[in-house]
Amino acid sequence: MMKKHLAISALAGWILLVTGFMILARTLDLEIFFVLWLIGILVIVELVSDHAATPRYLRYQRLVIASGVILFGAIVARKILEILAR
Amino acid sequence: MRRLPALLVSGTLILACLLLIGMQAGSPLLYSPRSDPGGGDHSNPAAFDRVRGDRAAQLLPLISDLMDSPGSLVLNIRSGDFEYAARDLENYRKVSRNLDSLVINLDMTEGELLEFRKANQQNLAILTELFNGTGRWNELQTLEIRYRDSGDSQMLTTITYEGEALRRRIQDLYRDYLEQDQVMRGTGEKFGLDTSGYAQSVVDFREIVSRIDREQHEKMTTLQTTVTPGMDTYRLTLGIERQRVSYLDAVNIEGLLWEHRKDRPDEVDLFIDSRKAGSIPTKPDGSFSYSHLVEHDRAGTHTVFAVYSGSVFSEIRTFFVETSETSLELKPPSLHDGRAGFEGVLLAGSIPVRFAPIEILAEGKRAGTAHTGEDGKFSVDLKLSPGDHKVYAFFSADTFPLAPSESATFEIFVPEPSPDIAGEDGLLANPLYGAIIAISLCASCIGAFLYLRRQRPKITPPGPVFHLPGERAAMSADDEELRLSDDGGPVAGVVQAAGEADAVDTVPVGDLSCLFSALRLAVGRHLAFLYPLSLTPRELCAMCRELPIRAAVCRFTKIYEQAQYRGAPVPDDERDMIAGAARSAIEGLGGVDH
Amino acid sequence: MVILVLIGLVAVLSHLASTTLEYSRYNPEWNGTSRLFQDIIERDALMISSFHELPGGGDALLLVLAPGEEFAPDEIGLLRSFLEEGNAVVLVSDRERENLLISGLGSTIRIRDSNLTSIDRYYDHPSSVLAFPAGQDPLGAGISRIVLNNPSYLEGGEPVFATSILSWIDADGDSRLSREESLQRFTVIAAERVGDGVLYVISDPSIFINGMRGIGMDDENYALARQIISARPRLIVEQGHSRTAYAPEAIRVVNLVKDSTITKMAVITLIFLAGSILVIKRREER
Repeated sequence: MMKKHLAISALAGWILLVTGFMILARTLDLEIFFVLWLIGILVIVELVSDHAATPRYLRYQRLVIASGVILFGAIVARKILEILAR
Repeated sequence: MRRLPALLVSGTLILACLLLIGMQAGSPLLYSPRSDPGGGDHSNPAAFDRVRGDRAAQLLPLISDLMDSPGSLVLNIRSGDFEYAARDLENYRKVSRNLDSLVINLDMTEGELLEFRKANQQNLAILTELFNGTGRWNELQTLEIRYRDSGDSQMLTTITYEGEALRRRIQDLYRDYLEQDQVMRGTGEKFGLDTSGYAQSVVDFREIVSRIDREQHEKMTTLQTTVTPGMDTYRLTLGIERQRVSYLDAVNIEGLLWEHRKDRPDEVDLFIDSRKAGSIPTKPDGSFSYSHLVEHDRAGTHTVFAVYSGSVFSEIRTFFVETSETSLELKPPSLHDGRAGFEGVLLAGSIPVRFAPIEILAEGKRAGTAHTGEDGKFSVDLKLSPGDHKVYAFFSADTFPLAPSESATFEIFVPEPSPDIAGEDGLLANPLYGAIIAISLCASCIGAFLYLRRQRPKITPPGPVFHLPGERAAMSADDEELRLSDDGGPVAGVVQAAGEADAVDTVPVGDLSCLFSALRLAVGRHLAFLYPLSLTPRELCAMCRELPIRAAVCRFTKIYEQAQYRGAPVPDDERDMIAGAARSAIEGLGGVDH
Repeated sequence: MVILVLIGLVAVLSHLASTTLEYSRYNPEWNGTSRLFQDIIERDALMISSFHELPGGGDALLLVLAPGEEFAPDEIGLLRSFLEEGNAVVLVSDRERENLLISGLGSTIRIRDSNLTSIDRYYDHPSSVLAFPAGQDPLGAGISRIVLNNPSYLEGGEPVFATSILSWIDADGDSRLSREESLQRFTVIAAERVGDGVLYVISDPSIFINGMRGIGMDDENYALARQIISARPRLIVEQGHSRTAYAPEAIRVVNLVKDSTITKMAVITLIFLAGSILVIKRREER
């Protein structure tokens, strides 16, 4: 199997796992889902791209991850505000 | 160009899917018994939790205990077993507390059980006071014997007077106790409990009252016969204008001290309920007056007597404080910032009640306490949990001669505090919130930037060493390294002479590649291009369009491409031509440094 | 491929053979009565759609569970004579409309539809009221308590099951004991002799739904159902007015087919036939 396909299946599997557990726990939380997705894609991108070269299909992944990190910061800020408002 | 519509269609589809999912993402609809609790006929049992601990089964035994407790407590008081009585009282208090918490747990803070609880709390207070009062009564008994033996007639009078106050207090207690009788026994009978213990407690209570009555009567008669002779010299009389008073009435007490000395004013001590109310100076004619404001006096009989110089006693006078009805008005509660504001006024008739505690109850449970001001008004801000609440204000205080009262009930809805609104408002209002948002956004932006800029472990690019064809002499051992450093062949191109090739038909395209690589590097260097290795032949040609060697480079790349992709071996004459083109191109660059 | 089609067929059939209608005997969900009717069918009960089919003799028990429609006067007359012959009738309903039927049978029991709740609950919800045996009726023998689900209450008759004293009518619907609401014992199952027979009225049909069956310390609700089913030598179940008989037409057809032996044999033969044809075709292709 190609590396690309492996990476996609791994990410899909990870997201399915997360969704499955969320449904089992009866709490679909978009924020937690997002953070877990971010962790998954970070790990997979790091594993797939080797040291010398970044495959073409991963070129824009770095931008996606970077914007994900910024969103993560926003989520953290929101959570802190919620806790403070309590 | 068929890809564009396909891309557009699939892009729109994906966006539509994301939109649909996003619309549901806020409140995902998952089936669960809880989200489908059934219709009006029944609810799905799978949605509920089992009742934890059989709390309902504890209720009746508790009420039964509360019905029985006063029986043994009053019996022990009557027979003078104060040690046992103390234990009974403690037990009674504990059971009462258990009932209170159970009733709150079961959400039965209103209705019939409320009546029972109120009556029971009254009983607890009454019996506690009876316990203390009879204890004091027994003390007075022993003191009396001691003073009688020592002939201390003043102390004897004091304690006899105190006994009189006590006797009246216990009579009041008995009257109050009878008031609870109906509720207590009614509840007991309703729940099918044995009320005989409670009935016996009433009988025993009456026994205690009549015994104290009898003994006090005896004491008063002996006091009059034994101490009266001393009273002849300084006689002190006392009168009360109104016998029956109520809240905020003034009790006007007037008295006359006979045979006082005219030259200096005397002072008379006035005792209300055996507690000193004040020292009053007498007027020249020996009269004095005192006005007592009824405010924190309990309802019932109060005793008054006066003493002059610790030895001359007046007779005992009494006044009776009546319970006044109160009215508690609560304005519709206001809501602001998730807090509910309560305002109202407490009146006894038309008189405002000062400094009285007001309880605010939500669903029958205490949510907070307010105190009335000088004008009887109160206001308090309370934080209530989000949701619907039935609230009312309630006044009940033993220290006032006032009947309990409660306000009308209001239904209020406290909205769920939304974090979004708090965020937007708070962002401007609270610099801390703004700072937190800014800091975390900055931190995440820096993190994202660092991630993008992060370089993987660097491989030093090969040094730009060029060897032109024919410079074989310069080719040395370090060229070998270069050869290995790139999988595409030697970086620095070395064009071997055609004649040196071992076999003509196996002329490797690598030869040409070497030439191409050299040219590419040279051009890249000339144009200060960062990554010359990534250039394709056509790009190389395109890059040289500003340079004078453009024609030569493009010719070379064209031939090179043809040779490379045709897959056929390159004829010798063509090879020479290629080499010539390359050479002219490189020379056109003005050679390369070093 | 074949397996997929088979699975799909089974799914479609099982979907067609069931419903989600409340109280329906074809509803295997929590609010159906499919499990009760399994027991009833095992008992070889006589299903009648009209009281004209009521048999003679005084040894039967007629179960009228959750009637959905009113009874005509002539039907009430038939039922009354059936009752007076010495049979037993168990009427299970939480609607006041059935008072017409009850009074027509000559009984003084009345159903009062109101929001009955209690502190003695099984689940932590006001609808889950516990009832305890009262009186000496054989119907309540050996059952310590039953769990109700949003019950009504009864007036008149001899109490067979009643709630505890810590029960009240929650008139304002706040599920709390308010000042106007007084604690009282309420009858939920009552019995009354009519002629030679006995009329039982149960004020909560929900105790027989699937979701209420498995609960309780010793399956007391189930025990009560068994007690009713086996109280008399013959069991008759009314299916003309009862909501337990409610079902879409497709279900009736499917269940008719499912229940008859000949069609079962035909279906099995068909399945085997289809299977063998497929196998033969495969062979030929190779």
